Amino acid sequence: MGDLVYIGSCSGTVFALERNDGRAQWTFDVKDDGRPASFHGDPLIADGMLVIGTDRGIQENPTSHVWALDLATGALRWKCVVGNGIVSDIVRAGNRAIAVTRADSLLCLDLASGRRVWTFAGKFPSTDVYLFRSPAVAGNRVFFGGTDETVRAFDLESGRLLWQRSLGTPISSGILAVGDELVLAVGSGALYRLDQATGAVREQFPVGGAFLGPPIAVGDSLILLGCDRSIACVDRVRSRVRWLQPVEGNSSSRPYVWRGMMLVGTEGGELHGFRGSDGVAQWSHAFTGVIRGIGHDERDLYVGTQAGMLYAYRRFTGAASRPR
Amino acid sequence: MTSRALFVALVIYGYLAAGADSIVKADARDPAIRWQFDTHG
Repeated sequence: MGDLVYIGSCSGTVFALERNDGRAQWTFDVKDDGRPASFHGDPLIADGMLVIGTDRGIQENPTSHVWALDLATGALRWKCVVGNGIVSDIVRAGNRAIAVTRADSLLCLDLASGRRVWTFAGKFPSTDVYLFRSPAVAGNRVFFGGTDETVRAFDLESGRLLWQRSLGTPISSGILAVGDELVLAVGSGALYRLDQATGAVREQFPVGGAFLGPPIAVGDSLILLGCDRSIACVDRVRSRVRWLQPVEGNSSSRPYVWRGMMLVGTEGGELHGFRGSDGVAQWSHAFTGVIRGIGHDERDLYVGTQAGMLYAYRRFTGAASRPR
Repeated sequence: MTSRALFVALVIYGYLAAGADSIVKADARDPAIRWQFDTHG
């Protein structure tokens, strides 16, 4: 963002680094506030703030926070106590910030102050198989897929439940709002398309396995990351798989799209780039450590590993074509 | 470039005890690495 790269580490520190040389401009350590906590989800960057949740799981005394830090200085703007850890991304909806806790609570916060506007307390999860449960926002509706296998829609302003749809199978991915539809993957290996207004199932079709993280829309294609084994491109309109590529030991936390390439990192430290149009592998690069998060700008990739190293990586290749 | 694109969540599972000090250096063995940053210092 601008000239800085922001990193949230599992050690509970946010770093703002100079993009050119990696020098730290500021750091913010949440451990100063008490017990250790980790950053596991993507932040919301809005109104000069970096808004992000910490994760302490759902163990005893799991108090976590949503933090809002000044982008330029790292100064604390506000923090909001939440009952359980947050793995989800923070999503903006007008002057609100939406997040989901590990205990399946949906939070609507005032973006300027961190005040809690409304909360939907979901059913406490009995299993943590699929951790990533990020919400989606479209217009005045907020959408959320819970561990109770149910997708719900809420009114943004009031938090009133508009509809709910039980799918009868665990939801494995985040929810993507695209057009007038919702798209999400389930553990049985199918992709669902739901009507945003009613929750009616428009289509469900097999995609060859369970897919995690948030689906990424590229034109009328969806990029999906499959557990630890594959990456896939799906034609959303025709409800068919365009291509699926096996990836040995996939360790990325979500799929990434960069300059027409679909990126996947592995436990062995390999970063693979697949051509969007047909899924053919174009290049790979060996890093040291298990690859988790990847950031990017037009020129460079910023590859984070489980061991806590961030690499600023420049690859001199032409842009590849988009998925057809 | 989206604002979200430049954020890198380093670690998804497991807590790593860490200091806030950093190490910044280039990797002389790999010219494609412009710099690297160790969040553990």
